[in-house]
Amino acid sequence: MGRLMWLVVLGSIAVASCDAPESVEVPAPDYDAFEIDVYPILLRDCGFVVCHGREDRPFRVYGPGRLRFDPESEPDDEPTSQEVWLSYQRTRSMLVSAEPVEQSPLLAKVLPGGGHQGVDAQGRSVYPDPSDESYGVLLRWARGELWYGER
Amino acid sequence: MVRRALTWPGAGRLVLVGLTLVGVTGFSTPALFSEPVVAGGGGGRLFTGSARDGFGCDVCHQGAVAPALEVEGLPEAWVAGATYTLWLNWSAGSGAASFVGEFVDEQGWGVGSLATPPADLVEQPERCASGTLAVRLSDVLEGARTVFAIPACGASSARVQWTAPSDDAEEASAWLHLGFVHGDDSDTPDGDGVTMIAREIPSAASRASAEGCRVAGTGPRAPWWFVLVAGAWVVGRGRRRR
Repeated sequence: MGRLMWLVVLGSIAVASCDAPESVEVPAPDYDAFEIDVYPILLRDCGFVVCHGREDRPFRVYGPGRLRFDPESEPDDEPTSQEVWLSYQRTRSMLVSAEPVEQSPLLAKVLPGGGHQGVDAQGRSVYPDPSDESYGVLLRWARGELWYGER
Repeated sequence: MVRRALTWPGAGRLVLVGLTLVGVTGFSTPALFSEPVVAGGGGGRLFTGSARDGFGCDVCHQGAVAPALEVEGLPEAWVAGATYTLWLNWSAGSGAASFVGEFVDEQGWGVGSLATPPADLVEQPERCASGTLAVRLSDVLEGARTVFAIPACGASSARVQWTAPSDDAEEASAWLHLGFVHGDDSDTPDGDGVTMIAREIPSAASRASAEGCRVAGTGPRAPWWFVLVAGAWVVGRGRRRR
């Protein structure tokens, strides 16, 4: 009986260790490039109130004329460093993928067929194809090809 | 591309993440759409729902019934070089009404040209509470959009004349795209009603090709300058008779 109990315990541990989630490394593309090139694109194309400019969305973008981190901010005050930093972190989280970064939610969902729920008046996703200029900026940034800060 | 340096936040500031409430704001006037996004603008998005724009006013404004907007004067088919008077009417009611509209081709580029009524033809409902003409034109965006808009200023009517392209050889359709917001005068985009309009206007040439004959669509109207010249001629003729 005691031996059976040990087998059950050891078996449970083995199964549990098999199911234990693997650690996930969150990509960390350049913050300076995000601030200069990526953040304005996300504000323009994603940060709307009913889209990714609301507090209940995991991916959200803070900024002027949109969701403000500090409710004391005037609507059109320039972005605060906190808002850009938080937007960067949220955007990083959308790059997590077991597949190449092109398959991450940030880059895959915004293309046709990517499963993005928000479509425009013509039924299109955010970017028509990977050759879109703004999409290209997001892609190069996510790949680490846009890097203005220190490595 | 807007480039603006922002300082890296100190680690201590991140403690505030879970403690601070957030505020939701929106565009208070269409004039902001052409401003850079980091200045609270639309970064070039006009929210008309056209092919190049995609999104409408309803990506921010929400929470009330769609306001009624009468649109008159659009032709059944446009004739090359003809001028049409678009007439928009809405109930001023409470709150604040504003819109942005544009005439575009299939790719979303502007087609034709626009004109606003000259000062002496402006009617009272077309004026802001301040007395100025409400409807404004803009060609600042990409230099190739024919855009008209009114701010939330108390007007309840707007006219704008659209002159169709002089060449209809390609038999292409034109589209009127317009986003109309009736806000509740709050500082948030909640509680606002939105009406989006998308009307295709085929070219008369394409209709003629399709039907084998010219179509007698809605007749083009005289441009503003013709109304003024004709009026001056009538007045001058009356004086000579005396």
